Amino acid sequence: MKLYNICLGNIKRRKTRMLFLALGLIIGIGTVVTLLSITESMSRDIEERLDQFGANIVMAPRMENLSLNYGGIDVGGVNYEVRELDQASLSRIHTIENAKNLGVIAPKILGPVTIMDKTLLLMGVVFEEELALKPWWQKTGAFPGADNELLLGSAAASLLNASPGSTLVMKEQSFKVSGVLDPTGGSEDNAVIAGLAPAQKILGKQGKISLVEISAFCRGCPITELTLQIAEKFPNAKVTAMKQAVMSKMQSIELFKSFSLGVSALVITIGALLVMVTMMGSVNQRTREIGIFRAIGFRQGHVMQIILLEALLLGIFGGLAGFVLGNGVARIIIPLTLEAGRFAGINWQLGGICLLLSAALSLLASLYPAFKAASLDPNLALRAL
Amino acid sequence: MAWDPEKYREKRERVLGIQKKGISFSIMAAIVSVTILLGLGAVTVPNAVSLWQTRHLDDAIYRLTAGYAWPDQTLAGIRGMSGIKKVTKDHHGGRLVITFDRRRTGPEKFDRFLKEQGLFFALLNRVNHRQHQQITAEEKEAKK
Amino acid sequence: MKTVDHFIQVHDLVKTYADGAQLVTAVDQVNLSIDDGEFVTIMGQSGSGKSTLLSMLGALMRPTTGKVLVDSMDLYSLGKEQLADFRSEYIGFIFQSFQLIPYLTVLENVKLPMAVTILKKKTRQDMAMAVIDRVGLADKHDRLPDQLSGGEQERVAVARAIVNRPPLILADEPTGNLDSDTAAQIMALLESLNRDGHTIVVVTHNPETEAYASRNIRVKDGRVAV
Repeated sequence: MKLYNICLGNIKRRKTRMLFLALGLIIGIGTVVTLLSITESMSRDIEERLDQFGANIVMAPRMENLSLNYGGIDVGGVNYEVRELDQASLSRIHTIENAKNLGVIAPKILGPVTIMDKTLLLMGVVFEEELALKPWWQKTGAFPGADNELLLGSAAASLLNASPGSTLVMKEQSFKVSGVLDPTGGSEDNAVIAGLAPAQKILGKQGKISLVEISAFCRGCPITELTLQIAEKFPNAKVTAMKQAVMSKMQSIELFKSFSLGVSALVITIGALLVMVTMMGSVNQRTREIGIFRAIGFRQGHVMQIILLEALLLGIFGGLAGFVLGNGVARIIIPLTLEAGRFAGINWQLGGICLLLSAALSLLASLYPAFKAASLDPNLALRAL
Repeated sequence: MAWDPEKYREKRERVLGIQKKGISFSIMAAIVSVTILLGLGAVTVPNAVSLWQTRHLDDAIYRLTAGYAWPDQTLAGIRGMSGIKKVTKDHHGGRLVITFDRRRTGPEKFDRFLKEQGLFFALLNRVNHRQHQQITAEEKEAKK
Repeated sequence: MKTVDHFIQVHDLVKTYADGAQLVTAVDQVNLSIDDGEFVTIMGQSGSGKSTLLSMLGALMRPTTGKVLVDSMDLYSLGKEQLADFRSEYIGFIFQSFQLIPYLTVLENVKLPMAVTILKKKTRQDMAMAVIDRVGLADKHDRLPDQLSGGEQERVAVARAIVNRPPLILADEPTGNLDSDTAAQIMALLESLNRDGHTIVVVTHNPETEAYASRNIRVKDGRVAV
């Protein structure tokens, strides 16, 4: 029979009391785990986008005012000059220091076009490059093979009531729809996509480029460096790494994470206080028991040990239960509150930390009650009826 | 019955003997708990604090399009402007990185100042300060 | 000049405490001695100070003035931890009621005093089962206290009191809550323990228990009656 047997006996036969004692810790730890799970999920989402766009750099003419449409280009219907880049100057790109890291260079021209009395976005691309850049483009039909063929975005196709094989007229020229894109969630859904040269002609912008999408060749490339080098060659352009744009979302997630940690710290502190108060109540309830321990020869240190061992076991239990609860709640909440939210999985490292945290708090919170218990006058304890 | 002092000698010695007991359990528990909590705090708090402090900062990266290097007085001049946190040269001195509080100032002011200095320059990029630091650090790691 | 020639010696023991505004003297200049192997009863009305006296003999309560010597040790000159060790080595306490730990089995309750010793697991088990057998409860060793009768609980308390082989057994009204038959059983048990060599001091207000003792001490108003 050792002191921990006393604790185990107590816990075994007074389960509801233990549960109640641990409740504060369970809720506190559960909160941390749920909140961190949510932030983890949000980060995963970002990382996946990063993987998708990750190595892309967008170059667009420098604008005084920007409104969001396609990579920062405002198109049509607004009363200021829309500038374009010179197609010929594009070759300067290959003179940068890290030119070997350049992968796909996909220039585009953008402009409004009227088809069947509807105004749509016309995108002129170099299909070879564009398709290399966007392997996720799925379609019905085929990609354009000739200058008079078109690809339609899903929304554009429904607007025009067109499908592969249909004929469309732009600026009095006939074009055949060779294929329709599946919805991508991007700007191309609303676009009519043609070859670069034909589109330039239709828009009257021969030799001009609205923007260029560039992808770097490698993983873990110095994207910022590449961006800056390209920017040096094209002082009239605004060069942005997509990573940057996506990363700005990261910042709000990081702030949220910090905020979560703050809230969690608060909740856990309250939980620990709850442990202290409940433990104190427990000690008061057990004065008779403690009196017996002292009468049969336990030292004050032994009595403290008994209370603290209980606190330790409680802490471990609270940490585990809180971890399980937190993950469970996260699993349910995340798909409900985040769009395209997926539970990021169980973080075992976090579990270990929760355990340590819970145990540490439980011990600290129980120091005072343990001290009080050990200081009880055995006589008073025994007379207590 | 008389009492024989020898009968319980062992017990008596055990009672009167000085008890060893190094560090008591309670003190150990207290030390370990505080260490754990301080450790966790040291890991999470500085990050949160830095995040909070840099949340309004952006970096503007400029390049000289003519001339060889940024004049020192230009740097000093920019440093003197309000809302400027830091001004450093980057990439073999060719680029200027201005870290500023976006609530108080911005590239328009820098552009004007640099023009006044008679310099030919281009704004290469504008990015969130913290992210710039993080991405640069990551890329440096990847390069190794 | 003062030689120690009794197992237990009490010199000029006084205990006073404050009851509201008044000062109450529970034990008033008590002198007595008890020899190794004696069976002594301390009789008195409730409030006569007999329980207080017992507490001071058992190192549970510090006297206001006076000395208690056990086995030549001046108890109240010892430190707190030494006093606890003293109780562990020398004393087996038996109380009137509610003295078992409700969430431990009979066996675990009996083993309790050994939790702070360095005996081997097997030794503890053997010693505990031996005393449980001695008090006749071997078949109920895995029961919880609330599954036992009053008399059985008292017997468990006795077993626990003797498991560490303490020289001195102090009992405070051990038969107070029991019917006369069960009370007789308990007293007989104590008598046999005395024959085994334990020194026994029983505090009681029941005159029938006097017959079991070799000596009876009367206490009235905190004083020992001659």
